[in-house]
Amino acid sequence: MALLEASDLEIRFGGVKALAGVSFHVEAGEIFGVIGPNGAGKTTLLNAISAVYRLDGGSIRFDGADVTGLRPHRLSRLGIARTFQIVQPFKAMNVRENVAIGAMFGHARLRTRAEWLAAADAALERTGLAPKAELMPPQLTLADRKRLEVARALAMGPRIILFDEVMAGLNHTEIERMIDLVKSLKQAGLTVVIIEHVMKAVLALCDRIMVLNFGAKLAEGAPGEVVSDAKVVEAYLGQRFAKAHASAQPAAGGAA
Amino acid sequence: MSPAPRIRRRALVLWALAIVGVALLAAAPLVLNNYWLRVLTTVFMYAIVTQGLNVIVGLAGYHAFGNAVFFGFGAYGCGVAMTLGLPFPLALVAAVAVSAAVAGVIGWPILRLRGHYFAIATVALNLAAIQLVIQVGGITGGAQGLPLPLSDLPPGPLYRAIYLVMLAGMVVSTLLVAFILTRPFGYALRAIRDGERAAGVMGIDTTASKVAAWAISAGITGFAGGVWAYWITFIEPASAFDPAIGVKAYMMLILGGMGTVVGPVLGAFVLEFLSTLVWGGFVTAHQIVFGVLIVAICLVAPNGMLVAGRTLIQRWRSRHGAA
Amino acid sequence: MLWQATTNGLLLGGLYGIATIGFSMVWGVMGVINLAHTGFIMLGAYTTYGLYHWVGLDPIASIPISMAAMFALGYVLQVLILNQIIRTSLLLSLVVTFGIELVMVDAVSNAFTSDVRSVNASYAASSIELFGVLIPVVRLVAAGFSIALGIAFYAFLRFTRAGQMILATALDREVAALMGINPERIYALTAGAGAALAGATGSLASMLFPIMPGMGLTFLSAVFVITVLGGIGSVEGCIVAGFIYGLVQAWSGYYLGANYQEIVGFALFLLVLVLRPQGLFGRAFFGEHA
Repeated sequence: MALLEASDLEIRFGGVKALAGVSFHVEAGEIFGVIGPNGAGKTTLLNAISAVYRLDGGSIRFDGADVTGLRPHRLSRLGIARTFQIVQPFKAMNVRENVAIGAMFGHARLRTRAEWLAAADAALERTGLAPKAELMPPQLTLADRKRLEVARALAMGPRIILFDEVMAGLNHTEIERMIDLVKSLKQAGLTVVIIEHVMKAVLALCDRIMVLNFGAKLAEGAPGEVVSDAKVVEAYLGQRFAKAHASAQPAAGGAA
Repeated sequence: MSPAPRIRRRALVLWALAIVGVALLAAAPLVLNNYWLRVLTTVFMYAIVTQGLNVIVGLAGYHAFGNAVFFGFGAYGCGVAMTLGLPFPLALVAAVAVSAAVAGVIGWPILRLRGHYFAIATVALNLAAIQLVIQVGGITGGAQGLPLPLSDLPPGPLYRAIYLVMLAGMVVSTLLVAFILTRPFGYALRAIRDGERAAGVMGIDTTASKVAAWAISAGITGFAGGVWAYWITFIEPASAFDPAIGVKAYMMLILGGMGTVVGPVLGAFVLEFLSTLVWGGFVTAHQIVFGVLIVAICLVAPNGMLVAGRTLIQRWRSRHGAA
Repeated sequence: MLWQATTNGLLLGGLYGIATIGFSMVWGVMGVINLAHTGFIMLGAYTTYGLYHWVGLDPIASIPISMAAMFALGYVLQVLILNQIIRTSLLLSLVVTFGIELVMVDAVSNAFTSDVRSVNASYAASSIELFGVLIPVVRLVAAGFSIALGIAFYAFLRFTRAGQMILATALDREVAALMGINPERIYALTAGAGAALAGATGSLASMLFPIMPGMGLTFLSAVFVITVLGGIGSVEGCIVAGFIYGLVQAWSGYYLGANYQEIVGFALFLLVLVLRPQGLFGRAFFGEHA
């Protein structure tokens, strides 16, 4: 069953169409990847789904209900959580408080301070941040700040999490750890949408992939099919390169 | 959220000190002469205005530079209510209600603006309110000003009563800020200050929180304005809506430390005493002195006097140690 | 009479336009809301008054002098004060420029008292009649100079090296610094140029309005409205929005009465801010605050 369904999403900035009628759906329990060259509209898509941007057209359904036009905080209480590519911790609160905010406001059921803190501690435990709970965000490494984004989203008790380039800027070991984390979320029954440049992560994680280019959907399907699609290779690497490699299957890694 | 025992003990000491301090201030009118009574009443008044500013600026991070507009609404709310025959306590309730209501209504469109835009929108609001009272006039008395009905109390007891009301306002507004900081609402405001987008997607109703914060801020500020109007018995647009009131409160907030509980009170005491002392020597150049003071504070202690003091001590120590 | 009001509005609109350019540029280039801007206008008017009163200089002839004086003052204040606090926060720049304005106004009050002063150019009383509309020569001269100064400043930004450096710094401070531009110098230059235009505004205004220490405040609503209407940091936007503001003022005075002019101004300001903060003509110039 489709948990998230987007139809004809459209976002304009001035005269530029950042999203020009994108439709897709995400099945419950799957990991759905969104890839595309820089400026293809990936983050805009995420902002459209999480209502950070107002839609200029199209509609979004979540769990069968129309959620088009709902404000971000309403969406979060329905179970939609997200992270930010440019991490946005509340810098005057410690890590634990940062995460507890998610439980305090974004969780549909938790009511007491004890419950908020328990949810925060559970999220910290799951993301491996528990030993750093009392630190302030500026004291964290980038990898830890990315994990803090994930922990804040988890504390909201979401049904779907939208990841905006959580791997960007991490080294190999850190990427491996993040891949394991996302896998464990899927095992726990969460639905995941990831926007990612790190192809290794996309291929390792995703059940299905959608490719965006110039604000429109270029391709969609299983990871293996999509990355060998000639149109996709062309969008990423340019036309000439695509022709030269038309017969040879392009290697999957490092397209970013 | 789980303070270590050491911090808890320190908080206990601070609370004890605060209670003793308030008790002393409450008893002070018995021994103070009129001059110092007036100075302290002014200090309390500014502490209230600064605490009001603290809610929207210090907690929510929205630079309401023209927040003095609510001082004026409070003053006129009280003045008009008393002209209509309400007793002072009820008029004060009206002052708070009018200020909070104005902020609530105007807040919906205006709090969508951020940064510079919000700041100058509030400045424009401040100036527009002056024009509105002057030009529209009516029951506010317009440019001629509005005399308030005189109290039945003789001056001595009246001024002591006003002193106590201002003191109570300072204490209550400070407790209110302390209370807000422990509530989810306080966390929501601090989250909005540090990252409004993230706050929104984490479930915080940012618009409602900001509007509520501004209404509370306005109510606190309006309280000070209402008591002030009764105190000086005659108000006019240019003095009730004087933007300098807001700016002075800003200076006190900067000095004391934004977003802290007692910072606004400390800032009010320090700056008001400082300016009282300094101004005595410059009768004709108050504004020049105030202006220079503003610039000096911003250059020397942009993060508050506590931070500035700490930095100074550290610098002195390191130099001392090196020598 | 409507035509007369319209003409008056257009003539004043030019002056409002150059009253705003400096403020708008300073905001656009360095993100500072300069509340002392109207103080420079007031000081420009007193410079003209002083030169007229003591030396007998014609108000028009004093424009370059008041521009030079205000440039120097703006430059020095930027270097000594504003450059020190500019990167810390928005609120410090607001507070500091408010403090500077207080000092300016009070200094002038002490030096000249709060009495209303005026200058009378030889052509002050004469006017031209055109299609039944009376055009005072002073206003025509002021409007002409305003437009000329606006165009000159536009040309300065587009066609001189210094102007290009200002624009580059406004667009991207870091990149500008990499290209060898010293941002603090550019900020000082911008502040000086802005103050110079304010000084010219003051000189021109001294012929039209009563000169007093608080006269700057009457420009404040105009400056706010026009900045936002024209788009932050846009010279051409300032000129066009200046005319629009002048017309709105004149018409609201004509239909509602002079009492409501300023209220209409503020209402317009808040309306534009809420509905179209990017200005009528485009996007916010200063990306960070869009």
